[in-house]
Amino acid sequence: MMTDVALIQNLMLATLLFSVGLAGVLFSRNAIKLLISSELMLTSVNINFVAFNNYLNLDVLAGQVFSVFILTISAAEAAIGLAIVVALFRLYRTVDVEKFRLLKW
Amino acid sequence: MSSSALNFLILLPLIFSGAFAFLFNAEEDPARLRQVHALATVFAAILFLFNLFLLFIPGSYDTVFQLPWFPSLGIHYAVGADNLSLLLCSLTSFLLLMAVISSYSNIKHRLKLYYSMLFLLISAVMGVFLARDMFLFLLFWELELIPMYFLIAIWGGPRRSYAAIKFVLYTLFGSIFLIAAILALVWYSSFSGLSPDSLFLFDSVAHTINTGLVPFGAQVLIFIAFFLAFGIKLPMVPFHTWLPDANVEAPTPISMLLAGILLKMGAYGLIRFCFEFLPQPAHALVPYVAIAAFVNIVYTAGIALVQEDLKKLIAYSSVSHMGFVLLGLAALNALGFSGAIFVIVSHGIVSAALFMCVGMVYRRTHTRLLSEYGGFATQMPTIFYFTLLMSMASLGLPLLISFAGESLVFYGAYISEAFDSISFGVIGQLPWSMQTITALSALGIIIGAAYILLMLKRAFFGPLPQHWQALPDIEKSELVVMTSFAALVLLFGFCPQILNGYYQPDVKRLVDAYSKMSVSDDVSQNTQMLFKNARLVYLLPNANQPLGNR
Amino acid sequence: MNWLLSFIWLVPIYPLISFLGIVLGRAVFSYFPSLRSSASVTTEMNEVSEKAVSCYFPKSWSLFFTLSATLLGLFHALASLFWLLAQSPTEITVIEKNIPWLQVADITFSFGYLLDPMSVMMLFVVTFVSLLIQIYTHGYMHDDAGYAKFYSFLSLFNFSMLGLVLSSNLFQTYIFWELVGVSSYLLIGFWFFKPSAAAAALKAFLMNRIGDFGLLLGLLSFLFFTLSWWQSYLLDHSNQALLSFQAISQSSVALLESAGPELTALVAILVLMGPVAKSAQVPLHTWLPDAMEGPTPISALIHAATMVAAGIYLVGRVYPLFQASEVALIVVTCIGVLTALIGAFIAITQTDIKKALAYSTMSQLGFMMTAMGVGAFSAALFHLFTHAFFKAMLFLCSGSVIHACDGEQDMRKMGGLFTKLPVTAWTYLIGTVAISGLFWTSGFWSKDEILLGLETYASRYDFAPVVFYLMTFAAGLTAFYMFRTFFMTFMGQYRGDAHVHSETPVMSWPLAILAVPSLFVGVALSGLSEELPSFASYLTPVWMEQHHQHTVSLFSDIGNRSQIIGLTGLLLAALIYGPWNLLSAELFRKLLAPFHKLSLKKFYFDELYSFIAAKVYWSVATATALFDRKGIDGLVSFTGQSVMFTGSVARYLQTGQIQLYIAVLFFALFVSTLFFLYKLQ
Repeated sequence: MMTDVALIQNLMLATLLFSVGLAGVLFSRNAIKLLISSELMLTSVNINFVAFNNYLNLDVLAGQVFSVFILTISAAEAAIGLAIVVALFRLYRTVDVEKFRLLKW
Repeated sequence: MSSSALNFLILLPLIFSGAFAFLFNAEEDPARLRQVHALATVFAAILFLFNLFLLFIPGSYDTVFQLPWFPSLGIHYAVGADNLSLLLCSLTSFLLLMAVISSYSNIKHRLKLYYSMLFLLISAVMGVFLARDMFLFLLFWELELIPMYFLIAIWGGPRRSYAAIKFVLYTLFGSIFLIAAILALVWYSSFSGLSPDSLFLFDSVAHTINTGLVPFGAQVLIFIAFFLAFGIKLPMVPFHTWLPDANVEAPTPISMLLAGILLKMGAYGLIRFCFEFLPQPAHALVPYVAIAAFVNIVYTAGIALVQEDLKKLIAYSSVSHMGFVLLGLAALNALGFSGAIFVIVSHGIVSAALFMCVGMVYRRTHTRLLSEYGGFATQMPTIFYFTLLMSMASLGLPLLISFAGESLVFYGAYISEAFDSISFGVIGQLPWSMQTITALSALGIIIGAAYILLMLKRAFFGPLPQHWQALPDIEKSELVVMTSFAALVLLFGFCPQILNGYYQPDVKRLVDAYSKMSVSDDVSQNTQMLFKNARLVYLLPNANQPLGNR
Repeated sequence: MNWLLSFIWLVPIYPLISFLGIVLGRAVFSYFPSLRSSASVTTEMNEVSEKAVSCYFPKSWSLFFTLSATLLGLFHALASLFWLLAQSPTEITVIEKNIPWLQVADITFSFGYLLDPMSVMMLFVVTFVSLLIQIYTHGYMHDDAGYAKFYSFLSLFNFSMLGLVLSSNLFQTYIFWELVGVSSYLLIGFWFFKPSAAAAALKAFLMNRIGDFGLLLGLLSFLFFTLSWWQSYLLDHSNQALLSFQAISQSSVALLESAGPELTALVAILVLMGPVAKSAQVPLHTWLPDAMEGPTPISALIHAATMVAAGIYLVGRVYPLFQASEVALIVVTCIGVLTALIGAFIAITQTDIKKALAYSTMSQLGFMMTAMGVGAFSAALFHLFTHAFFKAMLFLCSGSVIHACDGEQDMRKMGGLFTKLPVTAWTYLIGTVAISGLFWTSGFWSKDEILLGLETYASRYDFAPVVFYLMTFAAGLTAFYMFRTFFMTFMGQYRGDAHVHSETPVMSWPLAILAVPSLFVGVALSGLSEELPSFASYLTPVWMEQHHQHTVSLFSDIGNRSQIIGLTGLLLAALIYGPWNLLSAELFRKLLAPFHKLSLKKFYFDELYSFIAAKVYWSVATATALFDRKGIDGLVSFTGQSVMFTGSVARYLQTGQIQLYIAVLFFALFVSTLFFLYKLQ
């Protein structure tokens, strides 16, 4: 059943997800949305890992293991990201990323 | 005495520097300041006496004392001294003592740091003069910048940070060439079959060059790189503009050291690396060295003439005098080399003394503008007489210290047969011989007299302006410094042979390297080769192929 | 006697010790006040500010130091004089001793002394005149604040001058040559608080430096061409030094061989630049009149009798070098004639007594130089010898007058001083007669010899008779302007308003003593008497062929003619400037208006030089300095600033907007992916 799905379809899904994520990262002003979008991008990477693992018919489930790792790390990253956003919100009373220009020239 | 004693010349100031940095608390009441000054004087005196001891006790200082440092890279800690090195070390320790005594009246705050930096500087300078390993030399050469930066930037005048940064950046710019040249030489010596753990030693490098392993084109490039690095330090026109700024902004004792010793590091490097290690390119390139000398002497003398700022005037005169060193070196004969070394020492003493004089006047008037001076001879007669003596020494009056050096340079350069004409590649040939350039450079003695005399006239002669009615004359500490300078100026002025005889073995060694070469045709041949065969292939190490055959 | 002779090298050392003694004494006395006792010490009061300068030294000590040094020198000089006169003039042995001073490889520069007729003559002149002037100075400078300082400088000058006289070689000569220059600088600028004195001192030093520059190059070129000759020569003559005067004639031959006539002429002319500056010859003469800013004893000693004559002395020393080149000798002659004429011409219109005397010195030095040029070697030295006495005396007289008139130097404010200053007036008259070459005084004999040499010379070149006539004319001018100064100063009515002091013995005795040689030394040494030594026979060196063997007599053709010309000058001066007012000076002034202007403006030399130095070179130097600051240093600053500028532009890429960074990142990724895809195909 699973093998019926061709690699290219998986990759197309991943690309779609990634593009949505990228668009979200590039065009959203809300820091929370930014975080969510980056999660989307990570998810698309996970799909790629799993798809390639399937496609190559490896004995070890390296792709799946990696995606688990990435999920973990992205959870941690999301936690830190949220914490930073909260801290910034406390400081500026906003979550608009265009207002955060501490590293400007 | 063996050459291991030389280590103390580097170590003692380093220890003193550390002592000032770590051992005392920074409490700054006047009594405390006096104690720190006194202690520094004692330290400087110890160093000076030890140095004199080395100078007068015969020893085998030229056998290099070496310890492996980074054997895998071929780097040693190696020190040794010929008479030239020892002479310059003595000049250094003498001027240090003078600088410390003159700090009594000139430096009033952050003394601990000041003396710590001062002694660190001296340690580095001693290291430069004594190092017998390329890497060690480079290390000390760069190390000297750090204390000097702080000495100018903390205790300097109003534009001190600009001057300090300019000084450091300029010297670092020169160091690029120095590093490149050293690495190139070491690269060539790695082909020489010498043991790889001693590649950086002076001896290995000299051996590599002597066996003809370094092709002529590469030697020329290395010579030019060294010449740039040391020319910046000398300083040589057009790389001289850091000196007036640094000298003007530095406090008096530091100006003394800057003009008295730091410039001599450049001169020492020129003699040691360009003219001792690389005789062949030196022989080919002396025409350009001579032109540089002429430009140095006459161009900067003209600038000194119209300076309004007294200290700048003396700074430019330093540049002008360093031209005599270049001219003496360009002669490539015994008289020229002796003259160059003599000028190094004499200028070290005279320029330091002149900066001291400027400092004394500045401390009393708080201005350096000659247009505001006048008639000081009536107010400060003792200062005037010392300034007069040093000015006369500076313009090369006979029986004062500079005369012997300048005469040797002129006689050496004039009877030199180093070249008959100067080639400029495709542009053409200039029919100027060494004699022509020397004669033109001798114009410097007229302009030199002009700016010195004009300075004396504007500062000391004439009626005294009303607002300078209460200028005190010389103080005790200043008197000690000036008397010491005056004694040396007169001693070496009347008996220059004491000094001149001392470094003759080194001069002989230098001259021997050149006496083997045939004279003028070799030069033109080499110079032509320089412009025709500028291709990278010629830079590869050639196995024992003698030069000039290609 | 022999003892004095073998320690002749002490002669310059005595004044050196005296100089150091006074300098150190002053230093010690000012830093250890307990040494001062009120009786022996005077506080030097400054004339500008009332503040006491911290220099205390007993006057009597400095006088004692200086005088005893000179006196000892005079003993040595007399000993050497007797040693010389004991020898026959045809075969004189000379003494030369050298010690190495500076040695490099196979080249040794030495210090030494050379005793030959020329140096013995100069030694005597210098010590004798010095001694008298130093005594005179005591009276002249007694009230001056810098009494001790003045004596120390006098000692320094004596050291340099005696070292110069005794020099055995050119290198040593160059050393003392510069030292006399610096003593002269110090003494001209003695009253340094006067701007004019400070300027004059600077000018004198610089003019002499230009000469030294030429002299140095001359020495260097000479050595360049003859170095190998010298090295082989010194192997055989180990007691001589490099560039020794004894071997100048042989080495000049070697020079001519190796350098050819053109370069030999060049070497000689370069060497000549030294004497031209030192002896105030055209075109480097302008410092000498200005040097009169110094105290008058200095003008007498340095700028009339000894130092300025050193130029002639040096030309005499290296005379074979000039003989080797005909061109060089003609140049010497031309310079001499020009100097004699220009000096005399300017002296006519001077109103400052010292400046008039200065121009007369210049003119007389021109006579000597001309004599050297035409080959009248001993005549030139003879004139140097006699001139030293009467010119020193004339200057001392002028000093006496100035001292008496409270510092007034303008002759228009003098007059009628004959009765008030009888000794001065009489000695001045003697000096005037002597310098005019009248009545068989010493100047008559020496000038006579020069004119004789010129007459012999006249047959040698086409232009040579012109030289003779010009110099005879200059001799007439000499009498005219000198008697003009005499009449203006001493005759007629007193025109000044200062109270005239009477003479003091300490100042009038030296005058009286100097009057003796001014009157009689010429006739004594002229060779008229068989008993006395003849100057010419001793001073004509062996390498020089006797150009003429004239018989000396009281009434020779040339002597008569020059006396007549001199008397004409005297008569004219008496008519115009005499107390009888027979001819109006105004009339001549109008008649010769262009010449008068030229003379008054000193031929515009000063204007020309100040234009060259202060305008042309100064603007060049200013432009160079500007170029250095703006151009070279500007380039350095530009390098730094361009880095700063790049940074300041590039920083705007750092917007702080994370989304921009991400966009750029992905765009770059996209482009590079495309690129690699394209490549892989």
